[in-house]
Amino acid sequence: MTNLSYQEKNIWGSLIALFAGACWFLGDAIPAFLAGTPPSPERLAPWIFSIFLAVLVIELAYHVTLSVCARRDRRDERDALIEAKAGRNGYYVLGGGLIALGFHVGIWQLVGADPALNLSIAIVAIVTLLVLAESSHLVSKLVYYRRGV
Amino acid sequence: MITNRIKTLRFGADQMSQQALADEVGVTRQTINAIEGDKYSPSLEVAFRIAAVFGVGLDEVFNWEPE
Repeated sequence: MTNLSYQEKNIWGSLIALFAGACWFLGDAIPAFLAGTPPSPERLAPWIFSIFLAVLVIELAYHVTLSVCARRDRRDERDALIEAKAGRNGYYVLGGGLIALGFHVGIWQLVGADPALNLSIAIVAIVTLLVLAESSHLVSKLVYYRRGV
Repeated sequence: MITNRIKTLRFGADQMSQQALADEVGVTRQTINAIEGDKYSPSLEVAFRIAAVFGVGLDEVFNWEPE
């Protein structure tokens, strides 16, 4: 951790918090689907919201601690370029995933699957997609910082 | 490909550190390090600022070679 820049430490903190939240949610949600007892959309909403809040609090605490303990670098043009390129990668994943999800939901509608189950799956798929998009955004930033942009 | 002589110029300028150059130019030390390692091509403004710190022309700091 010592040879990491302030920005890289920030990204690692966000990435770890994101993965912890994702594992917490998907670790419970996916086995429930596989066991044939999918959570209802009414149960999923507060569940996702509470995990989102927990991740937010952990991230905030980490970033505040880091800004107090570590020497804070100002952002320059390279940081802005890396943010733009990594953001583009994240949006590609999000856009591609949403198109694929829309296609799948359309197929379910065509075959007349249970609408409540359909919505539960769609919510879990969207959360997974958001996690993947944000992960690719953060990992891209780390790669650009290390390998060059 | 853009190459540069920043490291040589720094050592020629009383062994100026990357941090000192970064402070003069207005970027981070990591950005100077990335430019020196040919991992990042700076904007024209930053390139001119770097050349101005060493008091030389742009072509004495940066060199472009067609790939």
